[in-house]
This record gives sequence, structure tokens and C-alpha cells, in this order.
Amino acid sequence: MVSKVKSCALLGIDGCIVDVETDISNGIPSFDVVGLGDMAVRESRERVRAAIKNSGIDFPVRRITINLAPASLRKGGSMYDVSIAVGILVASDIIKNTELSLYMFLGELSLDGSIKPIDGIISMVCCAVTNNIKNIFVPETNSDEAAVFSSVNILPVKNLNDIIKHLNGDKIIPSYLINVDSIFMHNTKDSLDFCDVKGQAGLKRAMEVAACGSHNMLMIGSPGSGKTMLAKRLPSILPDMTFEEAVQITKIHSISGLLPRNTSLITHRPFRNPHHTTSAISLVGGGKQCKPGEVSLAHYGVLFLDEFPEFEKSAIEVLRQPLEDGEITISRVNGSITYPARSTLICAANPCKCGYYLEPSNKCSCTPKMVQQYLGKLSQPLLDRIDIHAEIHPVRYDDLNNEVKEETSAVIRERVNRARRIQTDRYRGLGIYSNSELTPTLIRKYCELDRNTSSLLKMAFERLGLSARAYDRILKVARTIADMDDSEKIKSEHIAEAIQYRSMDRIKI
Amino acid sequence: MRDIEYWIWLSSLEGLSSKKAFDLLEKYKCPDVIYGLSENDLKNTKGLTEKNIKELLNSDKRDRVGAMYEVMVRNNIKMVNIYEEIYPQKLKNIYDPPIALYYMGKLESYSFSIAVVGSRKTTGYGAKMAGRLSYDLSMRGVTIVSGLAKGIDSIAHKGCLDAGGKTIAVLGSGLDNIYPQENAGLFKDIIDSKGLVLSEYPPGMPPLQHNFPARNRIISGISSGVLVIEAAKRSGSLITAGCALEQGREVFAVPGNIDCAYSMGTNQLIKEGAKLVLNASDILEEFEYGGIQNFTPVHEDTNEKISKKYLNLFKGLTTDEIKILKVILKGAHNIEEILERSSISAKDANSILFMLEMKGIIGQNPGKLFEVII
Repeated sequence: MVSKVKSCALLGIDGCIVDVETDISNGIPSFDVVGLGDMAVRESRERVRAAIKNSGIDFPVRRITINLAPASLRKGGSMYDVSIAVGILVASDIIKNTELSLYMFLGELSLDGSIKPIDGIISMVCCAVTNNIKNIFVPETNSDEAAVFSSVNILPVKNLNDIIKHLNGDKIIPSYLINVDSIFMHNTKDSLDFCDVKGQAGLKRAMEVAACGSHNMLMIGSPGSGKTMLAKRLPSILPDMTFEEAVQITKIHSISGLLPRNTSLITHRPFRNPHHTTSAISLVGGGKQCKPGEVSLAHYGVLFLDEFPEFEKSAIEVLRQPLEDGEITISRVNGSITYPARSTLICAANPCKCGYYLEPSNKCSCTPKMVQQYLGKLSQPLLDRIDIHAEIHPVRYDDLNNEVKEETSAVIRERVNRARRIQTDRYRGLGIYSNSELTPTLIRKYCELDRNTSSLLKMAFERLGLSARAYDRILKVARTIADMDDSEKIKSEHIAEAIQYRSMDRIKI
Repeated sequence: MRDIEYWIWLSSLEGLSSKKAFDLLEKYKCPDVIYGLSENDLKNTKGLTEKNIKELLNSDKRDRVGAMYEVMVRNNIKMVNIYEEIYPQKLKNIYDPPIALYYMGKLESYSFSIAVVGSRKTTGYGAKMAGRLSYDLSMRGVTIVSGLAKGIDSIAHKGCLDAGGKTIAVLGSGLDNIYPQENAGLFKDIIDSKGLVLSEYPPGMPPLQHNFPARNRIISGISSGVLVIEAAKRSGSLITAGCALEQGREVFAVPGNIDCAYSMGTNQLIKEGAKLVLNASDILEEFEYGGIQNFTPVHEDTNEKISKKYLNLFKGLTTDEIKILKVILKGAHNIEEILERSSISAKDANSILFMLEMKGIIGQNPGKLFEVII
């Protein structure tokens, strides 16, 4: 008897349908799994055998061959357990229903026949949706995550017997439904809010500009001035997430095993702050399984690198390409995988080794050379990808103590949403979504300056000794500021403000 | 061997202080005589240690002289010895004058020069004062002497060049070894503007730490007075001021905030009797220096006049610009303070600050600290 059931493999953040073909024939009893499986796949034989036996069913003592097709694709993980078991049960006539082409089986088996959760469920369900598979058996613990797409029936199961009963028509499992809108509604409240930050109006403005245009940002300030505090609040003013964005973020977190159980969609923008001892690989992704790195985990969110100059030089430099392209391709022996990496990079740095160079109290004990060396670690090519430079000055006691109501994140986010909408409308069909992604050609098209404004910019370049590479950055940021102002044209005040965010480009004495 | 090569030899010996070299010269009159002295002769010479004698007889050092001379020719470095007419007269009279000076540029008689020194790390205030005072002094025909270091030194040289004046940079390394490297451009500018760079060290000398205090005695030695702009409690500028006192030069200091670490040294100097300087005239009135008489001071105003000047400045500015300018004048420097005190939104303030900067009224210091520069 031959049976064929469907399961799903993971390729990066996407799924790929795998046909699990089972052949049971006479001969010397054996149980083989072919189709380029890794150790976890080969070991599934023992789990399947025990699970079937402990579900009260006799395991067929015959020659069993399992093929995972397409056989040329490398497969890893324990998600095929359930489909292999079901394949055997169908082939040995325990499951009577043989029309299974519209079913997908996902999950890992326990020896007692119960079904355990797996990573990457959302990617697999998404793959099922595109391949018109209507019914998906998922481990009960994963059901919230799987039920995001309403076009498929999600059938949560606890153990192997649930599946047998359902398919034989003995006990039908109702398909699991959740209200996706309510998840979005429920989760909009952030625990970290901008209104917690006293004072710092200048920096808040800079962050708002960064959020509006999705610009990367470098913050320089002495220890304790609030760099981390502010960076952590940036996700709360980033524009509202769309369903598609949430699905992508959830996919990445799910395949990395970082999705909390009983969560269906991640509706917060991610905030990742890897420690400065982190390696290049853990930033961009890689390893044997080609796992996504921090840039990808921060997709559509914020990647915050605190103590930026303390990072390994190699780790910082690998960020250049993903920052430019919005995705990262990792190539390993097992193949090459592309992960999305469209995050807003926020870097924080002390101005010098001791941290007090910019403080008026002159506590700084560094020599000029040390100061130069410290910030000199930031390579020019990387600085070129950072649009906004902002200095942070420590908050004064009066500010900490005052009762002035600061703006809440929700108010700021409303403005950010508006500015973003202008951008998405303008760039529709161009494949970009925000001003930070403008290419030189598009800059010429969308960031035109009138005569007065361009002569002002020229004067600024001559007077301030700005470097040529600052030119495009200034135009992009000015475009964002104009959008925030609801202005079609870039006016001189927009350029003026944008130039204020380029302090690292100024010639130093 | 050429005559000049004996001088190079004598001035390139390690561990032989200028004073000892000078005493040797006084005794034997000529470096070639010293070159020819035997070990016994040297042992009979007073004041020389074993080490000095070894160094004087070191054949390696003798062999290197030719190469050094070639470097000098190639780089257009010239040398003047202490017996020559053009050797700076003032320097000749100090306790331990360098027996030879290596120089590039014009070594003519610099009638009247003032040393402007200060720390390498500066505050915006120090930078402003260094620029302003050296500009005003050189407008009056005063030559500005400094050490080509980062910070105050560079700003003083630049201020002088801006005024079209003459400036002298004294290095603590060989002239083919510009330190700090970033100032190579300034080094060239000084020579191009008919200024002078000099050093007591022969070509090839690296910028060793102990060269700098010795260099400071030359800075004060060739000047009539020393103006200290900003100095921390323990600072090379205070060494220069100390040298100046030993050499009988006038010491001037710019007062600063008494809480500011960078002004502690200068405030201490004032307390000990250095003349407090508010403008260039305060320095010049100490000397019977004629200089250029019919010159309108750029920065010389009494405090009263300054506020009047600012009133003039306010003309032609928008209300918001004046508002921001006023809070900066009142001591708000960073953007957060400016925003808070002027109660102008961050959105507008950034562009107003930029416009003021473009109008040349305010400037920005590292760390985005704003300051009125007029």
C-alpha cells in the first residue's frame, strides 16, 4: 500500500510543501526514511514507532519505506513526525480516509502519542494558504499562531488518536478561530512611553524624524544621559503595523523559536539590543541551520546597538550590506537563504572612552588623540548609512522633577503615521516605502530644491565644511521633515533642520 | 665635513643638555674643535659625565650626520647656530639657549612677538578667546608664537594667519616629523604666509614626550610675553608660563569660570600675579611697543559696548531669532537648554539655529554646543 500525505519544510522564513510518501510492503521488517533528512528526521522513526504503539495501535511489522519529496531538498527538524505517523496509519488502513491532498500535518511526536509544538508554524500555514491546502492539523499549543489566516481550517490536536478519530469521522474537531483584529486592538498599548522621558525635546524631535522616514540614527552622549531609555521607546512611536508586517515579524521570530507560546501574532515592533560582545554571525545570521540574526529579528522594528564603538569592528562592518538592501543572504553548505532585514538602526556611543568629553563639567580625562580614536572606530562607510546624528545632553534635576505633562507616544505616533502615509502614497509602485530608502536617482526626482534653498545648502557646505557624502543624507532627511510639515516642496527651514542632524560631518579642529 | 655638519652633530647628541653643549662651545668656541677632542681631553673637561663622553665619541652618531644633512637639503630645512647674527637675539639671552635652531620659512628679525599657549583640549570659550586675541594682536603687527599642537595652539596660529600676520611655530620634533600629523596643512600654511617653523631638534627626531617641556622654553624665550588662554591644573602651558618667569618674560592669562577645569591653571596664574587679560590692548600696554597705530580693533570693546553691539546685531533678525540669540547670550549652549528657555519648538529652533549660524552670528562646537561668535 502506498499513501501520500502533506507536510511542510522551512526555507528561510518561508515554507515549502513536502510530500510524505509511505510504502508498506512484504519483506524483511524494516523502517527507513529517505529524502535527505538530518539526524532529527532519521530519529523520528523511533518516536513514530513508539507513539503509534502507545496510542493503542499495532505497529505494522512489515517493510516500511518513507520518502520525503522533493527528495533533493535537505530537511531538518522534528516537524515531519506527525505526517510520517499518519502516512503509516493510512497505508496500513487504520485511517480510512484516503483523500488527504487537502490536509497538512504538522507537529512533533512524543513517545506516548501526544503531539508537541514546533517552531515556524506560521510560515508553514502561510505556505499551505498559497498552495490551497484547506485543513491543517497543528499541535494544540501552536493553534493561536496558526489561526492567523482565516482562509484555512486550523485543527488543533493533542495526540495521534485525535487525528485518527477526526479523519475516520468518529469525533470531529472544530476548526480553531481567533479574532485577529482584537489582537491588534489589544496590543497597541506599550508599556514604554515617551511621556516617561522628561525634557530632551530636541532629541525627541530627532527621533520623531527618524521614525517618520525610517532613518538610521546615531546618538552621542555621556553615560546616564538617557540614550538607552530613549532608544527603547522608539518602537512605540513607529507607525502602526500592518497585518503583512506583523506576519513577517512573527515568521522570523517563530522560526527562531522566539515566539512566546500561546501568542498568535507579534503586534509590537521588535526592539533588539544585542550586547557589544556579539559576533558578526549572530548579528547577520548564519550557523549550521542558517538561523536569522539580530538584523532580521529587528525586521520592521529597531536594532539598537548600545556602546557602538565597543563592538567588534568585523561585527559592525557586516551590517553595511543589510542596511543598504533591507535583506541579508546567508550562504552555507546547506544552501543559501535570504532573510528580510528592514530595520531602523539606532546606535548609541559615548563621545570618548571615559564618556564625559562633551560635558560642561570637564570631567573628561581623555587626551584629544584618545577622543579621536574612540569615535574614529566608526568607519566612514557605516556612518554613510546613518542619516541622523544627535547629541544627548544630560537631563537637569529641574527637568526630572517637574510636573509638565510630556507628549505621549500615541500622539507622536499619530503624526508619524501621517508622514508615513504621504511616503507610501508617493512611492507606490517603486518598491520602497520610506524616504530613507531613496536611491540617488529618486532623490533627484523627489527632493528637488528651489533656487533659494539650494543656494542655502551650498552656503552650508562651504561654511561648515560638510563632506560630500552628507549631501544625499541631508536631502533625504529634509524630505522627511517636509513630509512631517505636510509640505510638497522642501523649504529652506527643512534643509536647515536636516543639516543640524549632521554633526559628525563637520570638520573638527 | 662641512662646517654645518659639525653643528648638526653637536646638536643631535642625546643626553647632552643644551646648557652643557653651550658651555662646551663657550670653552672651545667651535664644534669642529669639540669633534676632534680625544677621550682624555673630554675627561679633563668639567661637567661632562661618563655617558656624555661616550656619546661625544660615539662613531654611529658621527656617521649619521651626513644623512641628516641630506634630509635637510631635500626638505629645505635650514640651520642657524648661536654665534650667527640672525639667531634670535632674545633666545640667545636665556639660561640654556639651543646651540642651533633648525628652521623653515623666514628667519628675519621678529621685532615683537607674543606667545599664545593653552591646552590641547579646549572649551568653546577657550577656542574663541585664542582666536580673538591672536587675531587682534597680529592685526597690530605682533608676531604670534605657539607650539603647533592641537587645540589652543592651532587656533592661535590660525587666528594670526586669518589676520594676515606672521606666526612662529616651535616644534618638539624634527621638522621632517610634523606632530601632530593633522597639522601638516597648518605647517605648510605658516611657511607659505612667510611665517616660520623652528625646532632645536635635528631632522629625524621623533616627538618624544620630554621634548615638549624643553620646546616650551623656546616658545617663551623668543617672545616678549606669554599669554595663557586655557590651562588645566597640571598643564604644559603652565610649564611655558614658568619658563617665561625664569626668563623674565611677562605672563598674561585669560580669566575663566572658576569651576571650569580648563581655566583652573589660568585663574591660578592670575592669582599668583599674572596679568589678567580682557583684550589685546591689555597686553600691549605692558610694552613700549609702537606697532601699527591706526588700527581699529575688531574685538576690543568694553562690556557696555558689547551689549550695544548686540543690539545692533538684533537689527534685521526675526523675533524668534532674537529670542534664541538672547538665551544663548545668557548661557544656554546645548539644544535642550535653548529649547527650554526660549520655549520655541524643537522643529523651529533647529532651523533658526542654522540660520543664525549661516549669518555668522553663532557657531557650533563639538557636541552641538552653540555659542555666539561675534
